[in-house]
Amino acid sequence: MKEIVVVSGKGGTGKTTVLARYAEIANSAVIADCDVDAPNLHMLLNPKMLHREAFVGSKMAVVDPKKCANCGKCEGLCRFDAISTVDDDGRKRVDIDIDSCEGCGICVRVCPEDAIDLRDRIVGEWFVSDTDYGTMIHALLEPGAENSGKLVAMVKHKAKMTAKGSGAELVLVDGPPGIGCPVIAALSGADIVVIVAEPTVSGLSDFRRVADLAGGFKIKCALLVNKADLNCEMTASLLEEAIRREMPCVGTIPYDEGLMAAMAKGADAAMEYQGSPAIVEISKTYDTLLWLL
Amino acid sequence: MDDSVLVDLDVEEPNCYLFQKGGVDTTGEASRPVPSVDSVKCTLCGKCGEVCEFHAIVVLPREVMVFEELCHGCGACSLFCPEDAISEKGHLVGDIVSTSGDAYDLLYGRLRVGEAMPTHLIREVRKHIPEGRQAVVDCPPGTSCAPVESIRGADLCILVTEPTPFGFHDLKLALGVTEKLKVRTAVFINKHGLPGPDIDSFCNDNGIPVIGRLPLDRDIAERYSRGELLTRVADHRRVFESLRDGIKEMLTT
Repeated sequence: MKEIVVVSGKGGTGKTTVLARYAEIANSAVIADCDVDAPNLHMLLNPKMLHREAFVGSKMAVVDPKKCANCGKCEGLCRFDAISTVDDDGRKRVDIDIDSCEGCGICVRVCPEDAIDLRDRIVGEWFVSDTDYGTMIHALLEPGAENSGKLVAMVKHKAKMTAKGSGAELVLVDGPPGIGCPVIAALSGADIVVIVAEPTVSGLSDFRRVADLAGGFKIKCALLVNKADLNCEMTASLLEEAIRREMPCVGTIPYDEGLMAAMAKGADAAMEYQGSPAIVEISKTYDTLLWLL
Repeated sequence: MDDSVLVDLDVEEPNCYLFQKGGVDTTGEASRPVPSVDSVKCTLCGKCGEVCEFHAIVVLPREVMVFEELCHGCGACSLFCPEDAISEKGHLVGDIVSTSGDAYDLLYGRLRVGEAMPTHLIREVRKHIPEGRQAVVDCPPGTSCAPVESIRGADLCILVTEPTPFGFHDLKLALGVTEKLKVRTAVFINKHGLPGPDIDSFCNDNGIPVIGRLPLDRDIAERYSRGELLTRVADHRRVFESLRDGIKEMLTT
């Protein structure tokens, strides 16, 4: 079983479009959407949900107002400014802001009244779905929740288990933007990482940072330049940067307003828009990738 | 905008510094506290490992191992160590850079590559916003802890979207965040003119002001690719002038 992960430093560079095409061509891969805070792949692949489950990602402190004596010990020790004393019509009450609480439990341990509890916090949901192109594992993090890295690791794990169970030879992973914890979780264990980059000054900077990250983990990477003809000089800079890193380039996709318009109309229009110059090039990159694997 | 400072809180992939020339950087390091165990005092009792909810400390038969990347810096281990053997040292998370070039005064954070948690750096950069200056913040993408840390406490949040099913879907998720944080919100439509969902009607029906529209235009994409500021091109400048006026109006009402 091989695993291909598609990432980019920023959102909106076209990685989901690329991954949906790969899923279509592979036709029997297990598909994992690891952009768990703003997933989009399901909008192209029309999954039929087979299973859903809550995801417990962290803990949170909950105070019992009946036991609390308002001593303030917890408030002084919380490093995340999650605890405050509020005035409820003249009565003081300790309030814990669950969005700031990181679940360290220091308040639970110092409370002399035993008034604070650490409880499991449901931070999202994950799903197993059926698509026309294979089984898809995806998830949705609750707005503002921590630990998206843990949820990403979970989605990847389920995808690999599914592939093992069904004998699928390929796992295709749509990665999250950035270089933080969810990206690190998405990269780990990949056989190859495709970095989608746009030929812009910011695209070059984003490419360097995500390539540094993957390089640090000694994962094999490949560059894919999207909207390459938008700025040929900058495309050349991206290619030079890839060469310097001994990283292969799997292809260059042209700027294609026709495809953008098809994508705007929705999933069916986008997936059926076969004649697009961009789509033709994306399909070619898939063959190159398999050869690299 | 006059008298404002641009603050780039997309510390994983900061880009605002790329769009201006000149200026001298003042760079400072940002670090978060992590435990440092004094092996002379430590009796390997295991208390620190027991109180760490993040599994960042493992007490082995002959030493204490600290996984700094997992540590949230809560201070529980040093507080509960019965031998007073744990102090705190700084773990470098990234840089905080101030610069003023030919276009704007800029403050930004740059996360060290390999560092998993951006929120601590975001909080540190926010502390460097000069007193009395209006901050215009470029936020990280998504809806998780990093954007929340960046949006929290703002006077106004502008959500940039595009008229595609994807942009529309992400806009609704982002509105969930600003609603939860009780931050006043307006929408800016990029690539306006694409034949996708009617964002204007959606905003109108939900009482969210649309504060500007930038058309889908290859010229804009090409200028952006070269790192040019659109405010320096007369045709495009109008869009941003009216955006500025819209912001001023929202902030005074």
